[in-house]
Amino acid sequence: MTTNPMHASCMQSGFPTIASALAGMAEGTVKAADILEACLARIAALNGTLHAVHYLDAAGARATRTTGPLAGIPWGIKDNFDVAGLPCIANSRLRAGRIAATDAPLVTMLRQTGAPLLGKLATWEYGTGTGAEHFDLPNPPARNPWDTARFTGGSSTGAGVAVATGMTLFAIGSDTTGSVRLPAAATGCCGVLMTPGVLPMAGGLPNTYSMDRPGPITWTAEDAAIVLDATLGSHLRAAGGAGAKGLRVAVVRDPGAGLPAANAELAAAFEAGLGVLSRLGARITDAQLPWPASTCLDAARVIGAAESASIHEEELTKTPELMGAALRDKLLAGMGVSAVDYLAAQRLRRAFTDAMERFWDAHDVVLCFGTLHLPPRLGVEPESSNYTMETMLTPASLAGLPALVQCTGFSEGGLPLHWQIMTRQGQEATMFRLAMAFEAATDWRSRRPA
Amino acid sequence: MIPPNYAVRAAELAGGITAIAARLPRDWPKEHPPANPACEVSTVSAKPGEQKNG
Repeated sequence: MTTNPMHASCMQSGFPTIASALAGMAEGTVKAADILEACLARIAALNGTLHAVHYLDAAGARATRTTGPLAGIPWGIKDNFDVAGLPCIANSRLRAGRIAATDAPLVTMLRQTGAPLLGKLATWEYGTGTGAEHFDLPNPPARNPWDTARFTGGSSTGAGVAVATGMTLFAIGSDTTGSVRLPAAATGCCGVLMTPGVLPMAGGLPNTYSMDRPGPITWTAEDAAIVLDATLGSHLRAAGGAGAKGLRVAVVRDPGAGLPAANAELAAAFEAGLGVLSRLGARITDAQLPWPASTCLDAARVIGAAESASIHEEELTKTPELMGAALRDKLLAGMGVSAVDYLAAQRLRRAFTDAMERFWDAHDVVLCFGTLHLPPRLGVEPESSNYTMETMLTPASLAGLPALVQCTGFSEGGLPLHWQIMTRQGQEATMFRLAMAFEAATDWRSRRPA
Repeated sequence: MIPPNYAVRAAELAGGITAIAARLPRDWPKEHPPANPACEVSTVSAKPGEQKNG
């Protein structure tokens, strides 16, 4: 545990991973307090530009007990989850002044690991939106550390930024149709969705009834496994170390009619990554989903808009002027969804979910793109909205599949590239096998934002 | 209810979402049911695979 050269390299770089920090603390070469103070120093230096942290609780973090599997590993959480005694505004004037009375259950679970909570991270209003940036919310938009003129991915806009820059060593976001996976993709991190119900969403402001899931964002897939193991008592890190040999990888490149082909640099990195997996012994075949990603996207948009409008209808009716334009537009669209259209989307969802169950008879994982674009220029339309709306993220949202986004390299302009892995419910270990094997076979984790 | 000040914008957006919905398949057998939107959100963690969405 103490001689892994990658861990030593991470510590020397000043950007410890969770694995390297835990190894260093076990060796006695690094102290928990030093890791925490380094994170606080990065927040002090960078947050004025990047706007990733909305509420800092340095005193609370410093007072955290120092025992537990994640003791000394600072983290942050999207500001749509309740943390006792801290604001939970979800970047909305509708919730101005609101202080949470209790911890969300997931916060409680993470506190029990001994990890010090540094604060609340940036989000789009109510953890939702249209992809458009209107610069009309209480907090300024977070900015991408790889290029501060660019978008961070949303709606967990601060989570990827915090992790990529070492403000925190992991972050918790929430994802309805991509809000953990898009920030991971945009900032070069790893974002994970588990089988629905494995991580509790309770105590988080709902976006939809049926698709919201919390998920961790970390620098490496190994770190995500460590966080999940400490939180759930699972054994994903050990299982993920089994390698990719023999895994049946279904490659899905075509998003379907109505969506563009993936950006050329994303596509090139995807193919290069397939070569790595092939050399590792993965069994790669071309495949198609039972319905194309574009059809899943249509269904998810109808379901998401209608359910959000139902949840927030009273505020839309009484105080629409307090909302930012993105939230208001999404809710107004949702009010226009007919019951028959909503049920058409849910009927497709049922059929797609059932068909995916049969799909796994022949495949262990699906490998595809997350979004089809590079991180866009913030507020520049239509590229900003397209980044969020033109994706292959919704099949996992509809069918409740575990999913993982990880970095596959960098564009010529220095922007992170990515792919997405999906697997059958309950088979997260398989997903981690592929991700951790790829990570160990490449050196993309050695590069951080300047 | 849509606030009167936003009726025009709501109509524009409703047109867009209706067009999206129109692309969804409709040729299901009559007995094919929708997914259950009331996916339970647990307050404690479940075992992987214990809960199925959709």
